[in-house]
Amino acid sequence: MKILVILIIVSLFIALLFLALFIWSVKSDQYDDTDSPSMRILYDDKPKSQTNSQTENK
Amino acid sequence: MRDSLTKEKTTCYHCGEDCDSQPIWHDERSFCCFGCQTVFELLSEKDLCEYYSFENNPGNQLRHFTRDKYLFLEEDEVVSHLLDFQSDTLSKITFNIPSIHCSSCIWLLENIRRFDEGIIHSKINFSKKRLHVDFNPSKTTLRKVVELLYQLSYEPEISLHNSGEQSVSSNKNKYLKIGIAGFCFGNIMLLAFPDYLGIEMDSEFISYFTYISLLLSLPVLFYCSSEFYLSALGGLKKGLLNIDLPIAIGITALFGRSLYEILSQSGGGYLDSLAALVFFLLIGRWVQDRTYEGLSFDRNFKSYFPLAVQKIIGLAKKSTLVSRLEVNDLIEVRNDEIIPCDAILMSKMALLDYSFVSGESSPVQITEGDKIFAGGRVKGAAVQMRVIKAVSQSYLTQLWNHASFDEAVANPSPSLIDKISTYFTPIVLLIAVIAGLYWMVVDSSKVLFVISSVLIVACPCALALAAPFTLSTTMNVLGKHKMYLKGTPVIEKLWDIRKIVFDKTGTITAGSKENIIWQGDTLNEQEQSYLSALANQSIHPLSQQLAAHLNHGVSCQISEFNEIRGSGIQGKTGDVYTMIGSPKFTDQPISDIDGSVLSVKIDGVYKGYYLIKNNYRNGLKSMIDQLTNRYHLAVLSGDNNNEEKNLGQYFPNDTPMSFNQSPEEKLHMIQQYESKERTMMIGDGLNDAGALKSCHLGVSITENMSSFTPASDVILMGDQLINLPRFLTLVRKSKSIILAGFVVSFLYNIIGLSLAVAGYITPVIAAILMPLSSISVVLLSTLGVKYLSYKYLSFK
Repeated sequence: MKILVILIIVSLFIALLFLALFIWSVKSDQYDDTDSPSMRILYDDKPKSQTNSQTENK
Repeated sequence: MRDSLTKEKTTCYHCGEDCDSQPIWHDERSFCCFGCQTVFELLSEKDLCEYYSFENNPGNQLRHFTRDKYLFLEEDEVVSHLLDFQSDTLSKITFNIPSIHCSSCIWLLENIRRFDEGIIHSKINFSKKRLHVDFNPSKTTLRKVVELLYQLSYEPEISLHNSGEQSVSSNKNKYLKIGIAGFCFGNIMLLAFPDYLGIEMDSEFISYFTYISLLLSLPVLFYCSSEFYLSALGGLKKGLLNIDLPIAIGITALFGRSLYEILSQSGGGYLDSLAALVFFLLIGRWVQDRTYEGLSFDRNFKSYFPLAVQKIIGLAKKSTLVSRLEVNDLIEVRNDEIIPCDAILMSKMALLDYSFVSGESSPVQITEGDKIFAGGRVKGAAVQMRVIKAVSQSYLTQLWNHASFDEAVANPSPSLIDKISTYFTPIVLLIAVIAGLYWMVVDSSKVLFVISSVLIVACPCALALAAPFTLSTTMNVLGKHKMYLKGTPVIEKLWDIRKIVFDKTGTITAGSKENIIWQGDTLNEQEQSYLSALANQSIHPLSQQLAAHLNHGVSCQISEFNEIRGSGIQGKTGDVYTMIGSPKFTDQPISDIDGSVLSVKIDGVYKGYYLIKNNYRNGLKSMIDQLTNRYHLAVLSGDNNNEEKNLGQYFPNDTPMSFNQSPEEKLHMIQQYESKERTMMIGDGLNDAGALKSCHLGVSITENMSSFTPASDVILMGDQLINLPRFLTLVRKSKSIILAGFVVSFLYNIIGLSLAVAGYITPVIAAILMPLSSISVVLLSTLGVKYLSYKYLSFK
């Protein structure tokens, strides 16, 4: 049963790690705007050289 | 008139507007105006046409561009005021751009650096409709950046007072509190699990677990629940027993009792209930405080006025901040600009559009030496004027400084929950005292146990959750139907409304588009000139409208002119006999028409008729009928009373209607109504702003989400106005859902209290009872409102 103590402590530390990550995400403004990241992922970064061929296949 | 040939709908490739009669064709794409075409060319030149691939017709219509519009952005003082950060090589600025609306907008605006070398980086905050731009001031200027945005038809809102930024940090705190409370809640519950399951363990373990729980509960008590203590204290200072007081007492009782049990090793304490309680309550608060961040409900006159005008000093012109203007300054105001302060006209003549201020739609002509009021819009050539009153002293501004504006802010009506809690708190305390006294007699060792149990169980968690969840779900549902509330308290205000006052122009009438339609054989040029000449002879409003529509002037002589009242007019041109009038007048019955009909007969032959639409919104009649059952109605219009008769067909006979009302008269009128019963004002223009603010609840109507709306509690899309009765029904029914939530939570409280008074409350029962009551109330609230919206709002 002594192992339980260690397990509890380990689980608590893992939980604390996630809490720290959460606090970091809030502090780094990730909750400021929850709409645009979902749209931003749709845009491809267009390589500069390809630009001409891209416009033609409209 | 070859309109009829191109009637198959062509929509603008850029903005998606109907191209009316003459689309501009460019590169095999149709555009409604040169503005849209210019934007397209600009984009294709920079190879940014991908813009059009994310959404169909993503653009905004561009209003016409005056070259010096943003001249004032060259002034160092203005620039430094607007910038968030400034150095030699880097400037940061945040724009409010109301026209941001889709994923294409994000893509384009985050790629604007391709237009201008000097722009380093741009980033959008979509929910707040803000654009952050970093640029290099040595390579480009603020003015160029703003002009670029304007040319792309994303006009930024530029004002010198920045507001809203301070809410960011408090929002962050809210998330942090919820996160931490959730973390502690989960872990404390995990540690309490053996207790729930009744597993017997070594007492050594149990004490370890309880000490860890105690440690975990400290941030909950000191950080997460601080706002309940602060609010309870604030209420007490004002002599109010608000809902946070019993919550704060409950939290204290929970913690005190747990602390005692853990330190004396007599039990596991109620820390799991404590964390759960705070966690749920914080979520409730967060839900309640949510707002539409992208919408501005508090615009004052300054948002309407220009930031700067051209001041004339000697022969030179200098861009000057409006707030710096002094009496006797000479200023120049150009076409379509708004006059910032009361002044006297120095140019020979000017055409002013006061629709902003008075609601009167036709422009007024004034001559040299006349007084001009702030808020008018100059039409035509630029005019010069001499300032006679500073901006803060001008007529329109004075209206804003009216006392009623401060009153409204100072006395927010107490919310339903606060009213209940004034009874709730004393009753709970009374029960605690009585129970304590009872146990004092029976078994004095249990007194503290029972009193703390009562306080714990009576903690109105479920009670405090019923209202926020119902209100915010209602607000979301209304938002989906394009009725945007300023916040959840607005719903409580909507319950009290007894009278609804409508503005006319722009509110119950739709925007003024082409509203005269010819139906019948095509008329040739000559026939049209006959009609024009004839219509010009009469002063009847319909004839006047027709004459203005035909716009031919009087190009031929009319003889034997005759006007038959209530029927029509007739006259002779050469030997052609022309008649215009009601269908009866020309013996040509026409039925089922929404509007006025001017039937036309030329040389004895029936040609067809002009349909003059009265512009009232479709479905107005049924909306009014539904509203009259429950509310008193009134009409308050800044326009003349031409339409009184037509309005009479829509509104019940006893509806009070006032016309020719100045903004100030509107305000006084509303105050009069308001003194008798709770009044809701529905209006649109700046001329309604005073009335909207001084009534119990102001609703501003807009046709376009990105356009300006005066300060109000509700922003409603124009095409949704006719659904107002349904919205109001939903709002009224939401009150019964809250009451049902209250009943359920009271039931839980009574069960809990009777257990507590009897001395049966154990940590396990508390840990079950508290989350169960909260969750069931939350479910009841949200599902109840969803059901209502399904029942009342599922139309189309």
